[in-house]
Amino acid sequence: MNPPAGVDIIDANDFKVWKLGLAGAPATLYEGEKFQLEFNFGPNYPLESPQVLFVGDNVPIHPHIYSNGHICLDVLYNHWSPVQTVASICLSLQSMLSSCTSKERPPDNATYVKTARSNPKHTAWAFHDDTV
Amino acid sequence: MNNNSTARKQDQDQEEPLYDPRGLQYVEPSQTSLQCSVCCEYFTEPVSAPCGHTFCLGCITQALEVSPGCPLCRTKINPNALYDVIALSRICDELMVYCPHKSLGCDHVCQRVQIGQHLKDDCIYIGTLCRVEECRKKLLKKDLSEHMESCPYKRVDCLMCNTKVQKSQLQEHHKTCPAESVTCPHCETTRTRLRHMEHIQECPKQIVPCTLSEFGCPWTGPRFDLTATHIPQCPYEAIRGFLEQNKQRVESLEQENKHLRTIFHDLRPQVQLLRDQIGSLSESIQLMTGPGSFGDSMHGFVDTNQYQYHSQQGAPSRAHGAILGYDSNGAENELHGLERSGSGLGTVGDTHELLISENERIRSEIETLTAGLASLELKQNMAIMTESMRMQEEVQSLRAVCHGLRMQMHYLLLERQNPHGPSPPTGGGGGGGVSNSGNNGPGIKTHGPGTSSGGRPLSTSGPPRPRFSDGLGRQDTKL
Repeated sequence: MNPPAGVDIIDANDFKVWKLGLAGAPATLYEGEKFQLEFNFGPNYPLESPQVLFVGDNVPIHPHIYSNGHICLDVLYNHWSPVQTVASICLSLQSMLSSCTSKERPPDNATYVKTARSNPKHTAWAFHDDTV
Repeated sequence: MNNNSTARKQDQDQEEPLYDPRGLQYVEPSQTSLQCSVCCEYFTEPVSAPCGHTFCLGCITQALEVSPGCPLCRTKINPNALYDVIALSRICDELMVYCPHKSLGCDHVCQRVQIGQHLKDDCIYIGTLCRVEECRKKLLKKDLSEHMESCPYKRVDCLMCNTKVQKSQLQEHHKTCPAESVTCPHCETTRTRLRHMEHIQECPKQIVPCTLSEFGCPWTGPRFDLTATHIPQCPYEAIRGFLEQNKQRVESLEQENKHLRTIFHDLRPQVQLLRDQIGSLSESIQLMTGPGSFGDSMHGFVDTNQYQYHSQQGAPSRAHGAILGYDSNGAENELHGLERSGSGLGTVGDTHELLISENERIRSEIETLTAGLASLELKQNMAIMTESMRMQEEVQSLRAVCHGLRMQMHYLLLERQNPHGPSPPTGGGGGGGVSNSGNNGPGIKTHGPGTSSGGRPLSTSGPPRPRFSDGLGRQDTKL
């Protein structure tokens, strides 16, 4: 598989966990930054979404990304469709980062990080912001 | 013919499905327009939804179970509205694929629709099982005929007895084949093995032991010598009657011993159970009476009983030890048996005596145990009876006290209801003294029964005053 631009494969040796590198797109707030993504595929993939989160030291500072790596993005949860691929998810994430106008954490970051479970799919997400 | 067809049927039952249609390797793998967007493979049984999107039948059925919309455009899809796309199905079936056994060496390439036929009939790289029932080795079809030549489970004829024998066991078979000729090791005559088995029973030159060897006769010699020379002079033959009688007796004693032993083992848990019961009973009695004399005496009784019981338990193992010791070193043990009658007789006599004494011991143990059980039961009954009498008395006295209290309460209630009695100044004064008497009055009344029952020990000694203030306190905490 050829990864799309800005994405490189760190570890994709089995069908359970993949680690990818994501580079901030040029001419955006994240230009030059490097992030790490972890994909956990369940036995029902692609019928059910994989568990996707940012890992490593550098979790992007973004109004929809919590400091524990959890991502508030509808296509990862209730708007998942089985036609989506790892490449299409990476593309969605890159566009989410690129359209950001101010680098800040979500307003409820502190409480969420304290209470959230490790699997973001267990969180009841409310998707409200279509602009970013 | 018939056999052959059933064997083939079994083969097919046991084989795995011929191939995984989704694991096929295509000659041209990247015509994405012919691929399902869910599984990213070429379409298998393609179906279209009313929205115009096409998926494999399996993919879309599974996807609709999870979420009812089209995976591509999210339009709602009724599973019954899916329809086959026959032309696309044909195009995909005509795609060229490699044989799934390419890695094993099969370089066959054909249309996808024909691959099943190839695997079933032509492919010699497909796995199969050896036809021989006992072997069932997994191998490739191309290696089957070679394997059949050397299969260790293949049947071959034994040339001697004309039966079919597995190839691997032919050597072994020759050692037991009934038609093989065998030479008798004693008289050096030769006959077939079948006959030899009969012959060995009566070969005059075979070395046999004395018929009374079980009683200790050490003689061995050729069979013809046994009846001719040995039997007339065998010392054991002289006392044969006695020996056999003794043997019977020992056997019956052993039987009885075994029987007694099982009885003993059955009784043991019962004793344990009773002891536990008594222990818990005496504990509960002690709890009820405090450090009374009765509980102590019961404990004492249980203790002594325990001691007796343990000493009894030691006995059978000691007796057992004696028997073992005797077996290993008969000469050392019980010398008087030897003195009485030669070494062989001594053996029988000693075992005999030991068995009797052990028997006796077990019997006496059982008797003591039964007696102990009876006395335990008696004492337990007595204890329960005494205790229940005491309890009854105590209940009686409590009942009397209760009655007294009830009378007192009754009197107090009467007094309260009647304002002209000698106490109304106290009760009324109390009610008036408190600032918000309108609030307190009903409050006290509703709390009346609760207060009187809760403060009963107080009311026996004190006038209504303290009871009233008690009720007030409750009202306060409630507010």
